[in-house]
Amino acid sequence: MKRPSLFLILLFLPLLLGGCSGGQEIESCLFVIAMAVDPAQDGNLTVTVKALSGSQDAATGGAQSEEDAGGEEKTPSSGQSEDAEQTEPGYVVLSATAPSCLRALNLLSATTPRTVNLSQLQEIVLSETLARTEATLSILREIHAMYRANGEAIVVVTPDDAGDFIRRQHALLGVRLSKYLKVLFENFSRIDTIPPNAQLSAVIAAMESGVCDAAAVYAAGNDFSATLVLPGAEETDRLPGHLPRTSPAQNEYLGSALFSGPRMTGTLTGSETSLLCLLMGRAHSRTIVVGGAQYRVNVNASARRTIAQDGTLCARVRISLSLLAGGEAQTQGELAADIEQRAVNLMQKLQTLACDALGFGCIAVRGSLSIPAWERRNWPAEYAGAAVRASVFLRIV
Amino acid sequence: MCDDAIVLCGRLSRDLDVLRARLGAPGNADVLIRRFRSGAFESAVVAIDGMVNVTTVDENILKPCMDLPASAGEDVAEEERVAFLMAHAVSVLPVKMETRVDALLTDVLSGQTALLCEGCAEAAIMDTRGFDKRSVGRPEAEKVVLGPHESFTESIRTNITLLRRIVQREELTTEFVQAGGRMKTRCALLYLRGTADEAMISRIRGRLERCDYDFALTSGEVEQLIEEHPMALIPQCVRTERPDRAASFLAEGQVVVLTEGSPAALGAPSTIFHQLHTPDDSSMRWQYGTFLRLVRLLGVMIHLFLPGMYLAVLRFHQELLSPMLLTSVYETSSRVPTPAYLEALLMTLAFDLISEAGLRAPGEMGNALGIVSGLILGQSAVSADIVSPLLLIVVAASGLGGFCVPNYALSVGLKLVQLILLTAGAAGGLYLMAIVTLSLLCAACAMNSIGSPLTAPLTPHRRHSPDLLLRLPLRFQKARAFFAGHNEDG
Amino acid sequence: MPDTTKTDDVTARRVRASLRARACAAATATGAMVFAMGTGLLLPLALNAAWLAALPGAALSMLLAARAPQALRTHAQQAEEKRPAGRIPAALLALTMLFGCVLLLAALASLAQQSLLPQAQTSFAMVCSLLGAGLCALSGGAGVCRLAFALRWALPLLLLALAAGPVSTQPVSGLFPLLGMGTGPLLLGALCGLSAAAPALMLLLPPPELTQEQLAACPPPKAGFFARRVACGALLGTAMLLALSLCAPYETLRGLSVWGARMRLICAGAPGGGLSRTALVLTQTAALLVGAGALLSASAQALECALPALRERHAALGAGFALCALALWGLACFGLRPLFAAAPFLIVPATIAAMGIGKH
Repeated sequence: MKRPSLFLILLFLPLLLGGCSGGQEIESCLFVIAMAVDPAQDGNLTVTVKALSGSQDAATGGAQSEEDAGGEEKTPSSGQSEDAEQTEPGYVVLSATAPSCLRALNLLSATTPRTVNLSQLQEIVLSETLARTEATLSILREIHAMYRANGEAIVVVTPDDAGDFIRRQHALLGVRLSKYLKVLFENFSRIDTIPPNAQLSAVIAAMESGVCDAAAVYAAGNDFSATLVLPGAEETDRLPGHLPRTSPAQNEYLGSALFSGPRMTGTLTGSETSLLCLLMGRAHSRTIVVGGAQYRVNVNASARRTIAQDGTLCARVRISLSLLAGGEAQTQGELAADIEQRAVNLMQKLQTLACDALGFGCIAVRGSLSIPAWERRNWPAEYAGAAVRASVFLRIV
Repeated sequence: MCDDAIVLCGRLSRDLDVLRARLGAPGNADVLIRRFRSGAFESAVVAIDGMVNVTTVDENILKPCMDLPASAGEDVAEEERVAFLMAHAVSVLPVKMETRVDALLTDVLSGQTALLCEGCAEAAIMDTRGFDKRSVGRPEAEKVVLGPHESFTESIRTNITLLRRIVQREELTTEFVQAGGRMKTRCALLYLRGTADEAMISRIRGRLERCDYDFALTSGEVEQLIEEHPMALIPQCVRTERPDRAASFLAEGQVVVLTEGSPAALGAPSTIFHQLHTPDDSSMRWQYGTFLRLVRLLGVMIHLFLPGMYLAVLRFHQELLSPMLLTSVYETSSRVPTPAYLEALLMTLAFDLISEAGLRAPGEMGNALGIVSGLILGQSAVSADIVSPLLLIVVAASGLGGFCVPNYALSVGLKLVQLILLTAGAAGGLYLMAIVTLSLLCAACAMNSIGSPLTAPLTPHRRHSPDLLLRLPLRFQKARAFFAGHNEDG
Repeated sequence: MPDTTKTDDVTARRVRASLRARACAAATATGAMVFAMGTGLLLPLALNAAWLAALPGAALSMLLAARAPQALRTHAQQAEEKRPAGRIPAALLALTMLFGCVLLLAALASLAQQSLLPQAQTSFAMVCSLLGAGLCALSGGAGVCRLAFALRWALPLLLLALAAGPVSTQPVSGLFPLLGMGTGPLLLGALCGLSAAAPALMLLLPPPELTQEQLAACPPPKAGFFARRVACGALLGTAMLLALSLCAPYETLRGLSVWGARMRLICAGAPGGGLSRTALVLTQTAALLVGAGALLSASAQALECALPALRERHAALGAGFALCALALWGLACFGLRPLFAAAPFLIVPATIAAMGIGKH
């Protein structure tokens, strides 16, 4: 046979012999922007998703109210798909309850009927009740591996009902929720009030790893009627949900949810999270207020973590501040000592919560030549009992 | 001997009868055969009306011969009579002496005049061409901003003259080859003796001589005769209608093939890079030339890959779209009734229809047609939700990229490649597109143009001037093209 | 009179250009093989020390490539004396190349299925990979070698640049513990990884576009001409394994049982979203496909040496293609275990072929 004919035949054979290539039209997908997982009765999970509706029109009928959707529809033992709500133009909220996250998503695919596509996922909200169990890692793994969720989606833990959390989530500034969420997390990351490695892939890797632990974003809804104002405390030295503010945005993202392995063990406030970022060497250049003075943290802040010969966990930070406004209320030495003390407190808190968010295990593992030797070492016990020390070298320019 | 109709026999009556029979005279009104007395013997001229300059024939052949005294040529041997007239009467530059009837007829049919004498078994063929031809105009398909604005015409002699005006070198050699069977087409091979490779010249010459088509060949058909991969999607010779460009081919050691009746020259062998370069690249400063080449390359990439990638991303790789863009596409796609592949195919073909119609529509209508079709039809299609706006932008950008290809034949070939990649993207996403692209690249790398690799000097490596993608300053361009015969740089 | 000195210089340069292109193809195939075997075979054994286990294979590939000049001289001599090449070493070489091609195609299909075509059937990815390699090899060994030469900078730079992104965001602790599962598994992995050097054997065959006269007229370059390039390719494959170790903790590596999922781990933490991830996967795809195409065309060439009856009308290529198709069909039916079980033993026929070809 002539070579060109053979060439053409070989070129088009995949279409005939290969079977299904898996391509699908874009309108046959359900693009999920935000996802929430809550525990339900009898060991089930309720998965709530906020997805693109494909329409810019305002909500039309067909959706039950939230009150109607409580009670009996949420209690069935397994495999029930619930009402769809259109809470804002362009988006629809769907939920399903099933024994596992995977089955709940399959149920959504079967009943919507669209193929659930998590490639545009911006946030995964887990209920704190669920996060404090061993199930977190398996849930996140299922979402990431089976459904190819966007690895850069932010993992959020909330003490509220996670489904309600994403129902409340609206794009207040701009039109698109996806853009709103992206800018939201970028902004909070820039001011260091959320942990740096809260992306889905990073959280899964940290949970699986034996050398560090994960920290997710902590968030809650503020009902504005019970605002708690703590006198004398820094504004961000709080947990979300009780901040002295009002705004159309009920959800507040502030602080960290700390994990020890796959299980959540505690939280950090916003200030503690900023300090955590500084100790990890991931602090951004931002403005801080200390006493009556406003300083700018310069970009060349660096941090180093070591383990001394006697097993002491040492964190050393170099930080340079530029005075922007106001008078210096504290000297360099006083500021440094203050930060050192706060760093030690933070490190001890992390030890108490058995969370190696700073990654001292990454240093410790270098001392072991092989994996069996490392696993025999029992690093978690070593970490919990080690002394801690912090050194801060601060310069005000 | 006189029974043989292949050669002239020397008996004027018999020879003229053979010629009349072959040309169909007197039924064929174009044939001019005039017998006359030239000195002591009879002669005749044979020509085609309209092809010859009648004044030249009358004043320089007939009149001087007929004015010879009656005793002129009495002592001349019969077989020397034509030469006698050439020496003493005829004042037209003789081209050659011919004894074969076929060759004589070919020359007469091309506009030359044959002079026969009684008793002489050879005829003199004289160049008396005087047919009407188009004057030298501007290039239609290779417009440039800077640089000359002359283009080739349909007359092979004029084209050779245009080249000789630029390449004034003694090594410039013109070889005429008659290609074809029953109807021969005159082709000219021009090359610089000592620069062009002899093996390459003989290969081209041989391929032309072996052609036995019995219709008039255009330069496009000549190109298909001499190329090695006629089934390939991309051409292996470079065609130009600009004498300055053809002169640059000669300087690089290529052979330029001119065809009678075609206002284009072929440069062979060529590489893929020849087909992507324009004369403006060299005429301008090196920074502008480089920039324009990069823009052109970007245009080619967009033309080839953008529609396929659009479909691949929509159908297989939605994670590559930003959430904002995805939302827009999602909302518009929901309203469009056709599948994305069909939509893309129809829009691409519609764009090609508009370009083709604009080319064929006469005069100013062609320009208006493109604008009207593009704007009105496109806008209406989007308003009626028949196509999505993003697809329209993709197809338009891809079409614009196609117009960046300077070589028309290559642009059509790339259009076919675009359709293949579009299908691959719809069928198998970026994966199948990557496989098809690599396969086509492999095929291109394996192709030759008159024995020289098409993708050289990039691969396989040959020494070359830095003039492939980036056009570096002229002082760095010292190496002749690799296919030149006496190239010291291999 | 033609200048014979200049003609000889031109011929010598053209022969070197062809050999250079072939060396680039061998380098690409070797790098792809190191990465494929590293992720398929060495990683389950040595976990994050897979890159260490791949180093001996890389060194062996350099040694095998260094035999190329001797083999080319022997070919030229055999052609001059009209002595046929050894059939058994040629047949072993053909089988070695074919096995390498099948391994690369299986890797390619697995990577595609895990990253670019997650909803597709495995057979679709396999058929596409096989036909891609067939189309590349159909252009003759010259086409794929020239393509490899054209991509000799682009592919490595792209791979390194795209891998550097995710690696730069990861702590270096991914490398530790340095010896992975221990010295025992590491040594076993190193032994199994020696087979990754097999693609370097394609250099023992002369480039098909060169005539015997051209080869005879020009002495082959020194051993370093080939060894240098193949070593770069092998080291690039090792560097990609190193990047993989850095990108994921050993616990993650231990938990991954799918070959393609391991290969795409580098992309998991890539900044810049799906674009850099996809670009990295496509670059890996290009390297694997070019390697597979080069091996397929080399096996066809070796088959023609072993069975001269197959010299007509691409029969050798057709036979090689059919054997590949059969092998891939078998893998689709029975899984990848037979492939991984047989891969470490590839070094045996490779060594016999290397010793047989190139002997007077």
